[in-house]
Amino acid sequence: MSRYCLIFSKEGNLRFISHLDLMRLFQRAFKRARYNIKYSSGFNPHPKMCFAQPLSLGYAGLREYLDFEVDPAHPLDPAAVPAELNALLPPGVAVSECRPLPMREDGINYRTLAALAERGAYDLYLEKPEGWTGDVKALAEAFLAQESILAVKRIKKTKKPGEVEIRNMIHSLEYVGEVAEDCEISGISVKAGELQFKAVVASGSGANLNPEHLLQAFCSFAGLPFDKTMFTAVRTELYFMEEAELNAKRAELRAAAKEAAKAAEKNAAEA
Amino acid sequence: MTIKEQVARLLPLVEKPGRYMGGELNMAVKDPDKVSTRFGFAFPDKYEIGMSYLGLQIIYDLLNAENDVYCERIFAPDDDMEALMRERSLPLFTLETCTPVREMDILGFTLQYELSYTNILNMLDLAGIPFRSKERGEDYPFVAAGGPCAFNPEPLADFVDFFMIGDGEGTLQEVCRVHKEWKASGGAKEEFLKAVSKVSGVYVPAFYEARYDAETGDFLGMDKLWEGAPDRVRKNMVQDLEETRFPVKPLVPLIEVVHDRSVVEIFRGCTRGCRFCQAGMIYRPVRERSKDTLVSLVNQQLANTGHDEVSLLSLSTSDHSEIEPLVTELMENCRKNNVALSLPSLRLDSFSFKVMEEIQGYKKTGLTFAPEAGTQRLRDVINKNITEENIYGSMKQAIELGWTGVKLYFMDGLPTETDEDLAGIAGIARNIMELYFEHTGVRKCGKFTITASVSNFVPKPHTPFQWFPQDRPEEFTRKHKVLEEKFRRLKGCFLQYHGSESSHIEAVLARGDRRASYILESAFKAGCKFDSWREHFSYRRWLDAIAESGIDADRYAYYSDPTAEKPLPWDIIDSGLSKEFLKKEWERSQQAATIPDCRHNCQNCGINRYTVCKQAGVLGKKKEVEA
Repeated sequence: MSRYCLIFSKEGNLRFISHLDLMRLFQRAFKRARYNIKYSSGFNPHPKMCFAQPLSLGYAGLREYLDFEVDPAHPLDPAAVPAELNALLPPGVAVSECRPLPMREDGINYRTLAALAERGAYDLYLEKPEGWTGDVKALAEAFLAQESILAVKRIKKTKKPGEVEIRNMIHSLEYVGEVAEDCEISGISVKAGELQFKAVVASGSGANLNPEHLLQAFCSFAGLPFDKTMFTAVRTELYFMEEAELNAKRAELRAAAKEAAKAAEKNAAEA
Repeated sequence: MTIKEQVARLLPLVEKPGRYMGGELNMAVKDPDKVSTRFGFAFPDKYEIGMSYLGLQIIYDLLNAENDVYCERIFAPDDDMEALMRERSLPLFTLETCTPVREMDILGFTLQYELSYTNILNMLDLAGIPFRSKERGEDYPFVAAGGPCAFNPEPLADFVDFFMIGDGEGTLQEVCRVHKEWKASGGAKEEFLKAVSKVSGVYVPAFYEARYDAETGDFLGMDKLWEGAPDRVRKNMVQDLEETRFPVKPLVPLIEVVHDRSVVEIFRGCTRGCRFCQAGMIYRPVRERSKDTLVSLVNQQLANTGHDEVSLLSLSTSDHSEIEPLVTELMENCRKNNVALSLPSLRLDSFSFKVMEEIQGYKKTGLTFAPEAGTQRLRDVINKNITEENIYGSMKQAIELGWTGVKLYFMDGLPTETDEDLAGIAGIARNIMELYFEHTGVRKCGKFTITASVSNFVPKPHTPFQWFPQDRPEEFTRKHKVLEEKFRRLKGCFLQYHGSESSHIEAVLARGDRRASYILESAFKAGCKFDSWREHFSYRRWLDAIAESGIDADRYAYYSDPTAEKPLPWDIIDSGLSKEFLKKEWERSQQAATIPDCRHNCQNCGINRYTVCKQAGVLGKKKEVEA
């Protein structure tokens, strides 16, 4: 056994370090723990480790996933790993679980968690303007009942803001209620009266929705003001597909692409 | 809202929030109420720069090793953070506990480069601390400063309560001990200053007054205002580095900083005697750590940090007496553990090439070489004991080993320099390219590039060139044009040079006296800060500030005393070097006469008056033993 998956939390101020910083942090923790992380071969070897799904800067995460590989000659004791690493990690990052990841019988690794990640569950807290009295529950239901939901986001290709369809990336949005009193959630201070939601959105290499855009679209629908300093996000869980599911999905996509190419060819021939 | 909560609110709004939140691995956690001295270590630049500085790790480690002291870090906030702090009246705070800087007992700035001085004023302003010592009442912290630039403390003398000159180890702990006693006694601030002025390396400027010529304004000397103050302040010196504490659990930043690696200092000082180099003068004598100690330090640091790179630090790495076995042993350890070994300041001899071959493998990047001057005559003037043979010999070797480029470091504006010396810079580049053509057999440079980086010479205190005027900016600009002309026709050779404007300001501050404080104050008011960052530096603003201050800045940048007789503002500091030695060196430079490395023959620099220099003539002695 040489592949493992860590489940860890990223809370408090540590939510302000980037994906790359977190990668370095774990690399160094592994080195301090004297784990024999496997390195890629080539001119520029780098450790074989990968997060299932990057977490946006500023968001807390309760169950984040990291898979990594060690030298098969030096396997780890998964039960001991959380305590070993937690003694070496800075406050704000804590490992709750280490699971061995099985190897296929033919010796080839299964797909990485990054390839299998599909959905993310978030707890969201949104500032409410003073004196605003809307029926949030009804608004959330009406919002989801729309056939199309557009959000404004920076388009990668043009680097300009543009509208994107996000309805199919929202799996659920549930209004929980108002926060009863000032409190700390994952090391983030949340004020009484903030609106709490639970949402499940696409979080994967295929489709990915930043909950900021969900809230932005909701606020514009509900007539609430919104900017990115007005909410707190905590990712509570990530959901993965089965490998077979992924393979089926990919096959489907490939078939569709083939079909489209054929159709285009046909069109061209006809013209 | 507490400061901590206020800071937390700002973090989502600023770039790189990791700069302001602390919480790094190996951060010191103490109960501030249970220590007698809260020491704020302030680095007057951004977090990424300060956290890459070894001195911070050394001082942080040695102060926090004291039970009665809590050392916390403070950096200069970047523009976005500063604007928010000012808008919300949030005072400058420490990273460890988010305590306002004003509540520290001692606020100590490190002076690494002159162009960071305006940041000091800006940080005091953000902290709500008046600039001038005499405007600070009993309730304010003591403002202290140390580091290489403290060897001319005068431009900052009116702002700083006490300077720590020389090695921090020893002085810092003693200062805190004196502070603890003073605090228990409940005395006035002046009593502390009197007591601390007795500590090795401590200079209390308020006990002295500068005297100037009423007509010419020339500096005439320093008068003591309190009889008990020392006539001159001798730098503090660690006698044996081997016995000196060195951090094995350094802070590991959470965000990327300039140098994200473990560092061990293999020795302090340099025996080469380059006449332009302030570090080579003020860090004497050379004190080494032994190979075994270094290997153990490296292993401990790597085990405690998990770094994937370790760097050996010194002024001239190849000069360590056990460098070959040391590097061989470290290389082996590093390879086993996937750790990169980095060796800055290597001389290009055959051993270095062997080492670089092994370290770098296929990736042959970043070969640098510093002839410093374009002709043998000028290299002799500055006592850079490198011959043409050395230059071309090592370059030939580099080309044969497959390096695809080299970066050469030079200076312009050196004493006695003529355009011929500038032409020599281009000549060296051309000759190296010729060597490359010879090697490949065709006159095509292909991928091979030569970059000559030319920086403007700034005369520094406590060097033989302290009596020499800096070139005026127009002259630097002319010289840059001459160089550009020479490089235009050289294929594959590129020229880089530094702006003459910031070099001018650096020279003003490097040799300023107490009156320069008014220039700094005007510069701060004009908005000067982060002057070492090209995007921040504004020459116009500086020139206006100088005019506004009414202080004659030319007196500092273009200071000239060929007789080497007149009193200097930094004479109050005894660097260990005798003035006779510096004078002799100045005279020899005028004759282009060189002196050897002190390991061949002691040159009587004067440091032996205060300590035993273990390096004096060691190479000469070795030869005798061999014979």
